Amino acid sequence: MSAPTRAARRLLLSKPVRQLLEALLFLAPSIVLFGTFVFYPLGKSVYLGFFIDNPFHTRQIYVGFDQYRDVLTSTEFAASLIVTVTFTLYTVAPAVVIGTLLAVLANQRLPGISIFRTIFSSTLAASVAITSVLWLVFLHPEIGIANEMLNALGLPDVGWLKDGGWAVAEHDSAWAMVGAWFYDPNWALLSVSMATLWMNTGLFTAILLAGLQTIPDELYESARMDGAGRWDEFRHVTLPMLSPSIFFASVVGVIFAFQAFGQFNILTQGGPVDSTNVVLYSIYEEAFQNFRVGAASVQALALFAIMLGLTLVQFRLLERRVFYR
Amino acid sequence: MIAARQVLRRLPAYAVLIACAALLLFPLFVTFAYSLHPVVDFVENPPPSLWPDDPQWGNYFGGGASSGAIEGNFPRYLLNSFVMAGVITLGQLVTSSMAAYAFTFLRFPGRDYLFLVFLATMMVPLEVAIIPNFQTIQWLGWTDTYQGLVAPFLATGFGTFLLRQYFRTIPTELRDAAEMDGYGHFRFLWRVVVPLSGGALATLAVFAFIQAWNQYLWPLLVTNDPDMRTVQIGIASETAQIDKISVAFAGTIISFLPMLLLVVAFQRYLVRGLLGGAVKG
Repeated sequence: MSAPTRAARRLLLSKPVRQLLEALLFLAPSIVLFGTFVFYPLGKSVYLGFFIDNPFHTRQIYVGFDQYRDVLTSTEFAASLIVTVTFTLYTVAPAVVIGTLLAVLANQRLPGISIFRTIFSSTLAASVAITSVLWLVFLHPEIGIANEMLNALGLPDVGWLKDGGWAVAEHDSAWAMVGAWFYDPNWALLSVSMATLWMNTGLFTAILLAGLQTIPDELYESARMDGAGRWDEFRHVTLPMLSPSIFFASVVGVIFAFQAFGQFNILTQGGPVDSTNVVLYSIYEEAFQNFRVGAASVQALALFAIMLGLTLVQFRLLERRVFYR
Repeated sequence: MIAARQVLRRLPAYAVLIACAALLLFPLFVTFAYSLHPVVDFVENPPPSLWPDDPQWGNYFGGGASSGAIEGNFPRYLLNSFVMAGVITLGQLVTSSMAAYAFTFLRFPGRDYLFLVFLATMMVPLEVAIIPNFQTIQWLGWTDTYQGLVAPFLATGFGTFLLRQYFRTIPTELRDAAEMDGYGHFRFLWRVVVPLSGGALATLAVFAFIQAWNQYLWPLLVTNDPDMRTVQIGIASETAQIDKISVAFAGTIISFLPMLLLVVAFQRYLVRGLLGGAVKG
């Protein structure tokens, strides 16, 4: 750049503007990408929600907020929310128990314990696709061995992946539906949940092991001096000290559950009869198979609102972790 | 004597550990056993016995009746996944270290607000933006291309946050000294900040690579051509065909191994990433 233009630029641009331009040089790639793939899509989703397609998908008809109201108050949406929340419960609650158990076991002082730490966390490496295939060997209606294993224990066959249970049966009310959980299990959802739980086990164990390692030895020593047994130690030292990690892992698990897609796509395709049709799967079906883009966008925004709340909780917890250190 | 007694005393602890490990790894073992069956075992009289009478290593390496996993579509799937995850990782390292640099070492109006905007992107998971993003990729003509697979993931608020946390520990005197030596910002970033931030960059890289490699929904949407499938979509589509299922199981095992090794080797970084870089050691 020649001297006069540089001087002219100096004159024209005040210091803050020059600083901003310099910073933009570094920030531009991220800003462009975020604008295109994060913020624009949010606005576009709101816009798409105002329109419905005519039956032949040749024309978009403006319906305003009517579609928001219709979709969000529909029984289908309520049903998919119930299925999603149930899935979350099935995949997070047992993972807390199993993860805590495995983390405590792998935190013992024993020669070679690091091998077990690695094995117990290893399912963290499995993608949803790998996990689904690994569980097909049990759950597949023809080649799966889960029913053979049940029979060997003297138990009857179960309709893995094929029996929607309470989610398919007719119910008089939402309460009746929840009540039916206990006598009419949704085996299809339980099947997908089992596979997901296996994947979560590694995640929870890894997070909880990291949490256990921050508990100071002195606490255990003073507990022992007070004559505490193993179980007292666990109840009065380990569990309270570990509870922030458990809570954090649970929030991560809940977020993962709301983002779950691949295992449903591979194992059940949302069926039978919507019994495993979680919110994200129904968004996919509406948008990419039924081509009802507007209705799908409304559901996507609802999912966004839920995830936003969950992520805020997650941030709070992380902040606290950083803070206390 | 003492050593032997100690081992004996620990025997129950090891027994419990081994039992838990066996339970956890059981699905992997069954899949491995299934991957060694000839396909007829699945077609006639399923389910087959657990361990095959005559293990078909040809399902992995070929040379048998049908082609093995390493000869079929899997090399292409693995290559696609590798390119996709590699480019996403590299892209995230570049965009986040540049952004984190600006947020740490540069002063400019609106800096804190803009940083909040970057943090806000973490609250918008891709899953809620798939419909408009798919339309954008279609409009760009990028379906069935590597650009289409990677574009939405090249920038990350999480990575910027993670690196900024670390960059802030670098003393500002270093920047002053470098300025006296005539270093511009880009040279300072590349020659001083990046070499000092190995651990933070490794955390981001491992996290980004594994996340990208394991993606399912986006690659499913933007690829139709079997040649552009990533390994995740590949195993899903291959296991759906019963006449190829044992080779698909072999391919599943082969696809799982690289991630397993990576997670075993870099588990510490991965956990640190999950905890937002907040865990030391």
